[in-house]
Amino acid sequence: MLGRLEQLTNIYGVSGDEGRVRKYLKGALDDMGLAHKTDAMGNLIVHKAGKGRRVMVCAHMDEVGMIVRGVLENGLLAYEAAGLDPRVVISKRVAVGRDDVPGVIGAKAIHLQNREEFKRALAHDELYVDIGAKDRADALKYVKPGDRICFTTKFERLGEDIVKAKALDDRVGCAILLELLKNDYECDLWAVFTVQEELGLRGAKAAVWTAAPDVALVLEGTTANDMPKAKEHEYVTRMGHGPAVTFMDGGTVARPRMFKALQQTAKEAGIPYQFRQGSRGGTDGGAINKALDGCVVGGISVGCRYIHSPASLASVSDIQNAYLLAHAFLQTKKFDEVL
Amino acid sequence: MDTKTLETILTTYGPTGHEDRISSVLRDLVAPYADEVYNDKLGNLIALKRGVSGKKIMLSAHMDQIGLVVVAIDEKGFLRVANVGGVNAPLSAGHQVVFENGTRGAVYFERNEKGVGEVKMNNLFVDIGAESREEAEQLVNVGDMCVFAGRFALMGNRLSCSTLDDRICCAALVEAIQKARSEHDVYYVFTVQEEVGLRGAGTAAYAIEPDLGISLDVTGTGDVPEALPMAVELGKGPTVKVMDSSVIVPPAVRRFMENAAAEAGIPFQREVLRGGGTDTGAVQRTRGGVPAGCISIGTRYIHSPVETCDMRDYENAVKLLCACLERKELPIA
Amino acid sequence: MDVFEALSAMTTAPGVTGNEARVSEVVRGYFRAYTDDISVDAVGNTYARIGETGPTLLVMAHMDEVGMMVTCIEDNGMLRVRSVAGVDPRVLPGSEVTVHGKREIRAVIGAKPPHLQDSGDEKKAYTADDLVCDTGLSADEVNALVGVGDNVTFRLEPPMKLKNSIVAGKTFDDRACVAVMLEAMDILKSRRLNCRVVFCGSVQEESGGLGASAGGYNVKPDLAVAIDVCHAPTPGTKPFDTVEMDRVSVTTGANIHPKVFDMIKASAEEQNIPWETDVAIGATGTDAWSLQPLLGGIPCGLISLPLRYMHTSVEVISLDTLRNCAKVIAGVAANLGADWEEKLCLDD
Repeated sequence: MLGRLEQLTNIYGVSGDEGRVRKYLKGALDDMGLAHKTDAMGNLIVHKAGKGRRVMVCAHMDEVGMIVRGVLENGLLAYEAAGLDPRVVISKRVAVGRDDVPGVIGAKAIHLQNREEFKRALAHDELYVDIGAKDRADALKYVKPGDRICFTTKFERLGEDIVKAKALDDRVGCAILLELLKNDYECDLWAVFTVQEELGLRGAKAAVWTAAPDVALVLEGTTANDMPKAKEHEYVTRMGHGPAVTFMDGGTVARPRMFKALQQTAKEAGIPYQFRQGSRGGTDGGAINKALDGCVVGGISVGCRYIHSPASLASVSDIQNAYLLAHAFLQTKKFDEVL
Repeated sequence: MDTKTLETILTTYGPTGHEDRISSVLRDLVAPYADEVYNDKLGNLIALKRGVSGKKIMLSAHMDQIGLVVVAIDEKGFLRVANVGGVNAPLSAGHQVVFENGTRGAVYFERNEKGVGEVKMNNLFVDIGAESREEAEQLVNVGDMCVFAGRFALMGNRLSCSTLDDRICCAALVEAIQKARSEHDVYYVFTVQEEVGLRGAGTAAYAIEPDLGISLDVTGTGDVPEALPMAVELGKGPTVKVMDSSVIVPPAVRRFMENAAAEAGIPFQREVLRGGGTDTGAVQRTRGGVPAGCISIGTRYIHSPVETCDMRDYENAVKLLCACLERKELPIA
Repeated sequence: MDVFEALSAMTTAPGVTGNEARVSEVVRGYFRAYTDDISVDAVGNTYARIGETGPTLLVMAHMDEVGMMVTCIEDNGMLRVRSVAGVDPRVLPGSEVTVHGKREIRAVIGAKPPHLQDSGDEKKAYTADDLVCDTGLSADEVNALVGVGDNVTFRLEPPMKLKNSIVAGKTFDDRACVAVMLEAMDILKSRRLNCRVVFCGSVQEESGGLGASAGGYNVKPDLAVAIDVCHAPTPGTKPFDTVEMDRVSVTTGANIHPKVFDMIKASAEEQNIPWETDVAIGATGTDAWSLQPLLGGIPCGLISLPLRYMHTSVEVISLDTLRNCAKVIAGVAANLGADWEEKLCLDD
């Protein structure tokens, strides 16, 4: 699973442009002999038909990134970002468009800044991507408006238990879901690798019409804010303390039976877990729970430090335990106990 | 409705997402009058009274109330909380709260130079009388929710209680199922999770596929000191909603409701609510669109522990609802 | 067809978001020139269908306009009004409006006269609560004719012709694009189609997209193209936020199916119509956003007509560009046939 995670996090797949992630996953599914379908929005759907409860398990393929809005006369690219704090994009390397044109997001050297400028954070519309073009005409030979811009961080192990990569949110979920698909469960399983979660749960909003689940599990990367100056009650999750179970977020309030069932599953199987100690933030669950005639949603998340930045960290044991928790939930048919 | 029953409906525990208790109470009250009673996947309580016309009307009032959710417990046993629904942080400080298992708490705020007005949710904490995390964990857990301790106060014609939104309308539905005579199939839906985004109403409407939706909720008033201009006052009648942030009520549905009121001699007001949405919008937006309207009860101090309404408006709201249900012809938008 | 005439008729029919019945009637009148298959759904979306077989293309432009509503009647008969959606209160002071009560009443939006203001006041923007709508009628007359909830629109004046096929008027957002649909129907009337086209005048786009959400569900199209207006450059606008007046804007981004983008682009290029890519990272703020996730996903495209001074009573567009938009849409419909599924396949 870690090998898959490495490959998955290295792929460029900004919201709306998930094709390469999808291609990789289709290859993996083909190797597993599993049939799959791609819907009109690009969601990758695997239906393992079975008797019993309709259960949807999902993870999103897209990562936060940027899009080229236009090219300036001087050859620099103006961009738009979604889900990215402008302060994390400065001084980073990127790849632009299908040809992975290399670029950088620089900023005025500090030597040339005055005291006032020094203190002020730059906004996205004051920053540009530089691909080394001479002028507009030159730039347009290589890139065009609408091309996605992606960070180029490479996956690495740091120490025994930690991985560093971009897009841990939510390639960890994709890796776990792929692993779960190796098993057979006693339910009508709809595994969905969704698109455009970062733009407002868009893929899930569409896919839920097709899957029409009664119960859903959402596998996500979530905030781990366990940093020195943060107050304990603002950590949300702590890296290395197990997968996080959600009681509430910006789009769901966990049904009491689901919240209990997830904890019960972990205890029975001896899997360490923690609570996602926050009430905000969103996942695909927010779209799924209130769609059609309703769905009971459970959230299992892996804490990622520096989420939504080019380089985030997560714990390998958290990822493995998240898989074990989701697997045990499905294996022990807890989906029958939550309605 | 007798005061005791009203008070029970108003003060039973039921914050957003944890509505099982209030659902149970309401279920016992409506079951004797319904052809079918059930809870759906998200917990909406639905009581169906069948008619003969083949048309379906869905009524809705939400069971959930706003509250605070425990996000963390510190080593001294203080609870850190976040809002469930539109809870005002400064207005929460200095109040008592109660958990599902009866545990009581006192809400206060971290001292700051500017005083309580500047307080945000993450500056609040709840003291449940524990002296350590371990002691607190005997009583409550992360993920548990508390609500303002219910205080039911009759003040002449007026009633003050933290849960008028929307339990006063749940009471109205309970009265209506007892009193209304309708030719149509009427679904009395006590919805869940309205306070966090109208989640229950939309899913219930999707399953029911009604021809008409009438929601019931509270609305603001313009009759208190320094109020923003609003054409609703306590005691002048229930309102026929024109618009709120979730819905523009179709003129045909408004006319239907106003005609029902006029013919039955029921006073009413027209309401435009700024900055608040209701189940009406969620019902309207289901599938290919549903004609949907709303009867509101004017309420002062919404989302505070001292919500206040006029019981004459409540009685007239019940009458107006019954009058609408008794119409033969339903509006086509 | 006489586009200017149709624009005049449509923009002088009131249809504030949520209350589109009267403009729907006018639109149906124009639809009748091209088809008998006309219908209105439960929320007021107005449809005209052409074509017999093949995939279903939904073309959607919204009929509703930004406008206001009476929220309060003061003791002296003056009205308090609020935007129902999208009306910037700063454009209102000194505006002439129409109050749609039991009859149409002319009124003005008033604010404190400059003589009585403190210096520095004129730098503060008006909010809706500072303004009154004054009909000049007595309180009794007002109460007899006007109620809370009645709509207030910019005064119903027909558009005016400026130079160079440029016209100015109210509610070109988005009735100019309803005119695009009519013009497209006119172009297609003599073409044999291999698809079905459902032209839809949608409701409530300005107030959250109820029309698109209900309409997409009702029609269940194989693909959809929304037509809306976008911003044309004016002093102070930033590069890439606008599209030149003489170009058809074709949007790309996550809301847009890349193959539908290709179809629109192909239609423009084969007809030598000047067009420009408009980039939207996510939400486009149009009916396309509501349509896209419905029923498991609808492939969507978005064509826009550049417009200056959006949501004022003096919106400005080019009739030439309007006609070009119609040609582009007609081209997409004309090219749509049996190979549509193949054409829409997302290649990975």
